[in-house]
Amino acid sequence: MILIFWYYFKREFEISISQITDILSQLVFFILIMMLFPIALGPDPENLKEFGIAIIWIAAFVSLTPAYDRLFSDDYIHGFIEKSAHNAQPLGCYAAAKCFCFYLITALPLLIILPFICLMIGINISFYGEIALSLALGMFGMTLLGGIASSLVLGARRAAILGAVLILPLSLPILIFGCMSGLALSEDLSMRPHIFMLLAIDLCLVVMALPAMQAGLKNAIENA
Amino acid sequence: MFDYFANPSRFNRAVKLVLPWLEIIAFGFLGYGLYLALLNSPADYQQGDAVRIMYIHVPAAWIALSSYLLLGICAFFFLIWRHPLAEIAASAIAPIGAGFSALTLITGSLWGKPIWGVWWVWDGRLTSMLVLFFFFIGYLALSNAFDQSERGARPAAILALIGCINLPIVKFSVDWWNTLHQPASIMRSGGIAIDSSMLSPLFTLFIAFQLFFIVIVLIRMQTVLNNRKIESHILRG
Amino acid sequence: MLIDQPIKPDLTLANISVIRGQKLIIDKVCFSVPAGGICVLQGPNGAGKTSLLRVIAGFLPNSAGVLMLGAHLFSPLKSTLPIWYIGAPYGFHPNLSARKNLVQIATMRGLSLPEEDIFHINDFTEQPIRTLSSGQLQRLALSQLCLQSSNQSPALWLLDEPNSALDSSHCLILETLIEDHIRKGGRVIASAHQTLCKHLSPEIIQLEILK
Repeated sequence: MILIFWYYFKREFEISISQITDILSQLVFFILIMMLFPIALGPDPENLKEFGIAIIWIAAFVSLTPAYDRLFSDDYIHGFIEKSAHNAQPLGCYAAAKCFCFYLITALPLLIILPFICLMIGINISFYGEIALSLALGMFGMTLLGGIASSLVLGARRAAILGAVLILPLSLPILIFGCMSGLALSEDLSMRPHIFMLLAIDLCLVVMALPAMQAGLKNAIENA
Repeated sequence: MFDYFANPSRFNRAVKLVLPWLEIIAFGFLGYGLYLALLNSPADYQQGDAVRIMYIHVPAAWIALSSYLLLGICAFFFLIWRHPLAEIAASAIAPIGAGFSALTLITGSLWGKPIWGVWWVWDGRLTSMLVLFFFFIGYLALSNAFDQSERGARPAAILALIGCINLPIVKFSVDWWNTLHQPASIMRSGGIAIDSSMLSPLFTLFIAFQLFFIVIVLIRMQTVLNNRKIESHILRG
Repeated sequence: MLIDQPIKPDLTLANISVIRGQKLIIDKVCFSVPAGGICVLQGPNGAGKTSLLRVIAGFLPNSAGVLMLGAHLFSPLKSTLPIWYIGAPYGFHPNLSARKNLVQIATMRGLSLPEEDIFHINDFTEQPIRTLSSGQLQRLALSQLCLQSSNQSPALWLLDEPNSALDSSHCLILETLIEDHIRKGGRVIASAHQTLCKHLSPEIIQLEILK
């Protein structure tokens, strides 16, 4: 099964590379949302520093949430999911590979430009490693939730908005612990409990998400 | 027992028998509970008569939470055991549960104004109830988002299960967020020392709300079953 | 190469009915396809040919009736019988080239590419899928049937109007391919407007639009 996971992953990667402008526009969307905060709150640097971590997290959430709808919808429309249903491996393998590739495609660019974002907001750049770690864990959880939501809204009307409505309440714990970790950083406290909570949430989500995605995809095939 | 009621006409017959009695008992409890709450129980020495909102607010909160768990159980029965009535029950419960959580939020807000001076506060419990309200809204949105109406039943059931498992996590994290951000809590909602004269209206109204909930859900389920019967008659011509 | 073949079971549809959106679209269809047998579904548009093929593929649940393989219940998605469902949409990603799509499908099923390119897809094999015409797309989809396996049992082919966009030469190639497959013991169920493979005298199932 690992081999098939790798083949699915390779396919996803090749597809994403063929749509590389999508990745870049996703990144630009993130920067734009982040930019809204100084515009709205005023350019006072003290203000921004206080809310800095929260701004980054909210921008990451808001920019990613509409993108999850596309996780399975392309393959669904083109009939690839039906085709994969006849392979020997369960659909959960396909879903896992898809989520993992999506995570890498969306998280890595964000983490790469994170230092520049920190400079723009005025967060101490020496905290980059810790912030990056918490963001990486948080986005992993978000990707899994996005996968669940995406598999459930296949074929629905207004799938993007519906997906967002479903994901955001479920993702509050990730947001809370992610921002708490930032708060702990700025108060010179240890981030470790928050990181562990994020890790725990991620593991719970992995266990929940794979069967849920498989059930959602199978349901979508039946009703195509 | 659940298999016995899987047959819709058997279910309808049983409900027809039981429903009038349930309605009478529910209204009885409601009347008695309201009498106890509004007239017979003492006013709080700090909050005055405003505390009486608690008698609606707290039972409504319990019903809202328990109805979401019930929704999860129905979703489980529908997905795993494919019980035909489970899906109907879930679709009946969801709007009622949403209504009760909205009632909790509104009564909580109405209670808050005279006591704390503000209409809304980001208390751990209120925020959790708000999130629960959105869980219900999400369920309703998903089950009605498909052009073929029965298509939404299974995704919504999966969502309900995920939500049920996530609900403790969300509650825990919201409580924690709240304690970290608010130093000493200036409000102690329900932190009044509960006297027995206050407990009895509380429990009476809780039972009344629960019965009322069951009555409404059963009526809704009957309606859905009757609608489907009518449609199938029309289809057969 | 003579191998002692075990007795091959029949694929049987017994009283399959399908209700979609509270409308009966397939009513008590019964037929049987033995190993090495071919069955053609005929009927006007909207008669339910695609839906019936999708039921056999396991994509659509049937509301009544059973699918049997021999004496056992047949669950298409869980069975060890290899199944190819070739029908629109074909499952190719529009941005990748034809060759890449085919190679991916081959590796996922553990198959190898054919030596001979009978559908002549080498003409357009490097083009992305979205630039292909419907005929080219159909030829690419059908060339999946040529993927070779080393040890799998002969597959069940479910073909939804496989010759609708093909020119006459490729139609003949398709019929030859089907004949070869039948001879090796595979099963074919296809839907078509005109009859397919008349010379093999397939079992013909007529589907009607139900009121």
